Amino acid sequence: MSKPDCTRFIDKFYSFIDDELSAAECAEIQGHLDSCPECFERLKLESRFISFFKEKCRCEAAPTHLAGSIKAALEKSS
Amino acid sequence: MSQPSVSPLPDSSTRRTEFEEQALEHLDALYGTAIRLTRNPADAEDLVQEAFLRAYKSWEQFEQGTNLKAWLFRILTNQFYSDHRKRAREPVVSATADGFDLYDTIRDTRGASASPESLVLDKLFEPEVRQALDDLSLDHRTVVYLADIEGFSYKEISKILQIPIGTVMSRLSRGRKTLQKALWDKAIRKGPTGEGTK
Repeated sequence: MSKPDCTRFIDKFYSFIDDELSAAECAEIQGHLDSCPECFERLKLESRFISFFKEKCRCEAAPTHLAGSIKAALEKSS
Repeated sequence: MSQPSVSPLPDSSTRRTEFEEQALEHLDALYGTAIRLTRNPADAEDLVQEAFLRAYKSWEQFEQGTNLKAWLFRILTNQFYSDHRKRAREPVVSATADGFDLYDTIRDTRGASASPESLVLDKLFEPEVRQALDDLSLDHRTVVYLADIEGFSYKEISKILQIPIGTVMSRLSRGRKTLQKALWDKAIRKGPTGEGTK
C-alpha cells in the first residue's frame, strides 16, 4: 500500500511519464521522488512497463496491395 | 505587379495526386490502428479504404499545415465507431482491473527484490502482448493504442475521439492497469521459467 500523501503524486505518474505536465508540476514530482524511494520504484516500474508494451506491440504494416486498392477506389470516386 | 499568366484550377487528377502524396504516407499507421480496432484484417482493410475515401471527399476541409495524421485518425475512428454502433458486435465497456497495482502485486508475491523482468516481462512475447491489448474493451484499447503506439498527446486523442481530456486520462489509466493485470496473469500461468538460470 502506498502512503496516503504519496497518492496525489502517484495519480499524476502517467501524465508525468507521458510528458503532459507543466514544468512546475514536474519539479514537484521530481522533488517527491528524491525523498521517496518507494514512489521512485513505482514510477520506474510504470515507465518500464509502458516501454515494454511499446516494444512488443509495434504497429502492423498495411498489406502491400492496400495502397493500390485505395488509389483505384479514389480514381473511381473522382 | 505582374499578373500570373495562368492559374489553372486544380483538376481532379491534380487534387487526387496531392491527396495521395500526403495522405498515403500515413497508411501503415492507419492500418495498424484499424486492425486493433476491428481485430480482423479484412475489416481493417475495408475500414482504412472507407476512411481514405471519406477523407478525400472532404479534402478541401483539411487545413494545410495542421496535423494531417490526427485529421485522418479522426475520420478513421469516427467511421469505425459509427459502423460499430450499427453492428454492435462488442460491448464498448467491459471488465477492467480497477484496483490492480503491478508494483504492489510484484512486491507481495516475491518480495521487493524480484524484478519485473524476471517475473513478467521476460516471459511474454509479442503475440501475447497483442492479444492482451485486443482483449481490452474498445474504449480502453483505442486510447491505449493511440497514446502508446501512435504517440499522440492527450490533447490530440481528445480531438481525434471527440472526448474530454479527463476521459482520455481515465481510459488510458484504466486501460494500462487492465493490460498490466492481463499480462501479469498470463505470466503467472506460464509458471517460473528460467528460474535458477542466469
